[in-house]
Amino acid sequence: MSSDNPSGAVNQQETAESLELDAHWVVGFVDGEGCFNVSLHRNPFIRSTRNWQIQAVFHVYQHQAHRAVLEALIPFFGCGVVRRKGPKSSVLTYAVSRRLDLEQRIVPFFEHHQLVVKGPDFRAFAEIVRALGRKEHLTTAGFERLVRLAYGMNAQGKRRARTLEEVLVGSSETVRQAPSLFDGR
Amino acid sequence: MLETPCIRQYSFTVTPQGDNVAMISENLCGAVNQQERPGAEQWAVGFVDGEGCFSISVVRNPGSRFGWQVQHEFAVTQAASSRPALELLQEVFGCGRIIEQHRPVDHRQVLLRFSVKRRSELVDRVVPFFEANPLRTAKRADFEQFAQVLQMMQAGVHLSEDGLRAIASITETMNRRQRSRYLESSETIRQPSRTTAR
Repeated sequence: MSSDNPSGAVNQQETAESLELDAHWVVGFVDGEGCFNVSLHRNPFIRSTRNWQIQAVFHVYQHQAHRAVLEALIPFFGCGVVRRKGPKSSVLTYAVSRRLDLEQRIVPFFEHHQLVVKGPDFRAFAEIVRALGRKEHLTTAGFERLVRLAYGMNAQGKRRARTLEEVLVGSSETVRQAPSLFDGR
Repeated sequence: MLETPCIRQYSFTVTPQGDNVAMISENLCGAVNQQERPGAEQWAVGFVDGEGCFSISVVRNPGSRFGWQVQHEFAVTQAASSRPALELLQEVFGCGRIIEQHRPVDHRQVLLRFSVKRRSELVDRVVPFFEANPLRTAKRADFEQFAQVLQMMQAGVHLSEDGLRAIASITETMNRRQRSRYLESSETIRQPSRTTAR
């Protein structure tokens, strides 16, 4: 593990493998630095849901100076990549966006090891990941249910770029859907 | 499994007679309890690795021996919705208080701060805890300097001006690496120390 460095500095040359992570430690770390994220993107190639794509991603953030711990999450979960949060950001993120990895590795792990802070967001996330696997988002009702679930996560959707109505109704060019879509949430 | 919010969990407790007894406990959604949470200590390490802060500062205090005082604090600050996590920390460490504070920008947003300031609690509980359960991120470096300063204070180092300067120098290498106001203050400049300052 780390050497006894008198100045107290953690050996930055530690490989990801030498940082063997404890499962409970990971839960605590994710409770602090993790994020279960469901975003909505416009994708013109997806016609089934009026060009809206639902993307679930699991993130863990850390400053670039300490990337070792993020990289250790890759062998720990058996999936995911480490990349920069944004083009000019000094923050790195461990990210899992492949739906199958989320469903087969991330979701079961956190169902087994309960989160203390992020439990409710995780539960909505898990529901959405599984529903996407069942292709529920391909029906109007299914899509709406998942979007509402997503908007209930992470500070009640207040940080999202678009309102719930914008997503459900779509652009002004699209045909107006049945009134049930905007029953005033 | 997660469709039902209330999850039955089994936890084992040892009775005074020493027999292991299986107890069925209702885990009500959101309820967290160290007894029902094996691994609570490692959870606390991970949570602190992410969100914890070990701080030492030398602050102005006209009533103190040299007009300056060493302050020490171990803290974790979270949004109010994360109160259960901070209460779990209280259980794990067996000390500390949870204080409300408001965000400087948005006064409606309430933040909670789990805080341990008392030196006896830091020395008797917090430091030994992280020596037995080491942090895994670079936060460990901050903790080690934090522990070193506390050890120096236990030895009375801060009771001399040179000692106070030494402690202030350490604070400059911790956390956000800010210059120490004490070291830059007129008092220390007027009285040059025998040791090289920086």
